[in-house]
Amino acid sequence: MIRNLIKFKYTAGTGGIGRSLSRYYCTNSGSNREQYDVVIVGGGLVGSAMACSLGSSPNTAHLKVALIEGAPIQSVQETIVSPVPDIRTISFNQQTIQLFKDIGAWDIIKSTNRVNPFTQVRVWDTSGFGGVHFGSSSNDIASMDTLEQEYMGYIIENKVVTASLLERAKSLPNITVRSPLSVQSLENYDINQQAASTSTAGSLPIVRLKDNSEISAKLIIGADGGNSVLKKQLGISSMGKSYNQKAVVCTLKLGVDQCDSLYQRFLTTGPIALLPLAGGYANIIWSTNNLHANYLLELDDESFLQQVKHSFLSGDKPSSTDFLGQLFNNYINLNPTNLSGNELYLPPIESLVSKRASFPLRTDHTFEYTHSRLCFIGDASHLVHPMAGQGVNLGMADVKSLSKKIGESVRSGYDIGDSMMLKTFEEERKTENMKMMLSIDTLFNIFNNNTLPMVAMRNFGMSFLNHITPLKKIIVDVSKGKKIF
Amino acid sequence: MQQSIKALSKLHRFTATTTAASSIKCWSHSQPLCRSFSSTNTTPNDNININNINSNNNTLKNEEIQFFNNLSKDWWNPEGTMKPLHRMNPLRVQYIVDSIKSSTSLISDNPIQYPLKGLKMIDIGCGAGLLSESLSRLGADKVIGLDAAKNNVLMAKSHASADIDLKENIETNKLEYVESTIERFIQDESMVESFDVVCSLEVIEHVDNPQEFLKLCTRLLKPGGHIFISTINKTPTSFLATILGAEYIFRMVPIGTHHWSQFIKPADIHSALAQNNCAVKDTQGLFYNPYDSSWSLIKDLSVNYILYAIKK
Repeated sequence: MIRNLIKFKYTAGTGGIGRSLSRYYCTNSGSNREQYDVVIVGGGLVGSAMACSLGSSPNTAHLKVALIEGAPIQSVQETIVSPVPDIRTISFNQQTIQLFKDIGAWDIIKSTNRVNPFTQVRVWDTSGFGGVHFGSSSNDIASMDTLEQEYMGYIIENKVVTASLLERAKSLPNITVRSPLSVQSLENYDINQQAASTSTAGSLPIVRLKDNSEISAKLIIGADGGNSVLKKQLGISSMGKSYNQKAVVCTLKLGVDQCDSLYQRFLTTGPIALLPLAGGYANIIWSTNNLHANYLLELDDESFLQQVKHSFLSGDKPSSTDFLGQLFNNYINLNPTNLSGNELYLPPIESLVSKRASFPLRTDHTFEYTHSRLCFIGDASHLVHPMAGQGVNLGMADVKSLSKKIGESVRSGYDIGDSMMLKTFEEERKTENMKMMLSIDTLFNIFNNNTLPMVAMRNFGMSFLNHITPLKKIIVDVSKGKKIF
Repeated sequence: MQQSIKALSKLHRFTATTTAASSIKCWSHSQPLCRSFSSTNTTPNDNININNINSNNNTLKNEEIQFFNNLSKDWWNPEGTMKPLHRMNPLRVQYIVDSIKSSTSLISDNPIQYPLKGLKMIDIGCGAGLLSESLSRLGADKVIGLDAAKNNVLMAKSHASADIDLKENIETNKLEYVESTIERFIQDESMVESFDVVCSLEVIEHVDNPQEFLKLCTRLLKPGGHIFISTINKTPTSFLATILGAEYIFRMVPIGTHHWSQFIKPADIHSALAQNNCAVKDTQGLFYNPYDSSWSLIKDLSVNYILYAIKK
């Protein structure tokens, strides 16, 4: 699903396009129509995890599931032929890792030796003074020197995880993976009609595929990403905005074999993050305004590398030595002149080992995740700014929740496409997703605001935060996916 | 069931402009046991043969079919007036399945999607078939939905007949809706002691003589069979929650839906069942959270509760 990330197009709110053409009654039950219980459209991270989850849970293992993926599927071995990691990487939190374990995919993912746990997160601001360090150990959270034992998450390449999930899905008897094949249209389905009534009456919706075969299903799960074709076709509207920013991504070779910390610095133009990968590599995700991003893309490798280093390391000692002068410098200095201390932990950056790519940043939220016999999960229903690394993790939480609800439908004698049961999924996830989207958007606004009071407040806030262990613990818990309320 | 009454009073606004005195209390599956305003069965549709509704050879006017379909949709709208009941259904179905599983080996070998295979069940006061549909979908050999109100039976039948899976169960009579009072129904001797499971959920608080009602329910049950009853307790809390709260303050249900005096203490049901040779095995409280419309099982029995007993 992140496949399209590189060439994103802004397509939020496509009202009305496919509304009229989707009501189409097929009278012939042609020989090339297959009947499934569930069709998952999109075999990216979220879609393939959904298939594995349905195949692994005892309540849903009897359901016949088809997974439709437009791109050819790579085997796990193919994804790790090159020792240099792919530029698309994801930070998976503890809950997502637990899901991978539950659905039987973790052993496959781990066997690639391309997984890198991180145990600490170091975040600091452009003006340097306020820095926060999160470690996941509960007893000495503020200690900079303690190497925490418990991991906070794993950084793994997108394609390695996707291939592993698909391999697991293929091994499950009730899952059929069809690839490379994409959806032509959704027929015998009127979203307005379906939305108005609960009833599981009438005939089943039909997914027509590009090879002209047909699949009818009781439940269609849209997991086709931020540019969901299915959503566009049905004219499902959503609300979103473009940040007028791009994320520049690339892979670096570090001067160390192993790095267990994730680094993020909020610059005046946007955050830059260094995600450590297995084998002494790291991924850079640099969110910045479009102009700056284009500049960074055009630089030669050496200059770009200098820019990356500079963006993490720039800063001088405060010029003033008296207390008030320091305070003034620390809290209200608009220029990046200070070091936070976190820089000292940054591993040496050796070289650039990949091309640079970029994708535009936007946020998007679909009003209704579910209709009768239709449900959207992952980026297809909610797209977030990557700065907190939560996008895929939210999608995986959708998978966990939806798969539980489908199991409940089975156990309570409901049609798996029943709108009420799907609605309970939406209720559960929408609140969580919106909370996260709002937090990320707020964070974005705080760090992209350079008025003097805001800078003072956030520096004060960050340095203050670093000394309040209980509060930090809460933030660490949240970032690990635990609920605090 | 408060919600059902609201929907049904709507129904009568549609149908019976001339029968103003007709039922606002269609849950009365047992007329003699019920209070005076029970279903009068004098709606203009009395002469309709319900079996014709979904056949190709309609003796019904299209408007009539449309009318019942619309009505059925309203009853079946999970976001409508029946929302709390719709949300309660999965929990109570799971309670029924899990309870039977835990106390008998009859269904232990059934596949996960058909746990009720091999059982003959009756849902007394089935309304528009919310519970009956679930039971039938879970593979019960036979489910009878019994209701004294003709419109409820019509709605139930039309809804199930349109459903992809249940259509077949209706055709093969695996799922059957019967318009009758329990007294009339039990006159058919073949029904006595013929059911593995008897369910009467959210019904008994609308019945005039619960003792007698329970006696008839247990007569339908085979020895060793399960009976499930859910209702509202007669406590100060239940007055605050269901009458003052739900009716007067939050207006979730119309005023006058429930009568506190008709609520029943678990002990009374226990003793009535014991008199009829049934031993109560488990009683659980049901808690409704209006914030997220969710139900959960709790220990506290002071408002809604569900119990089951096994006939000796």
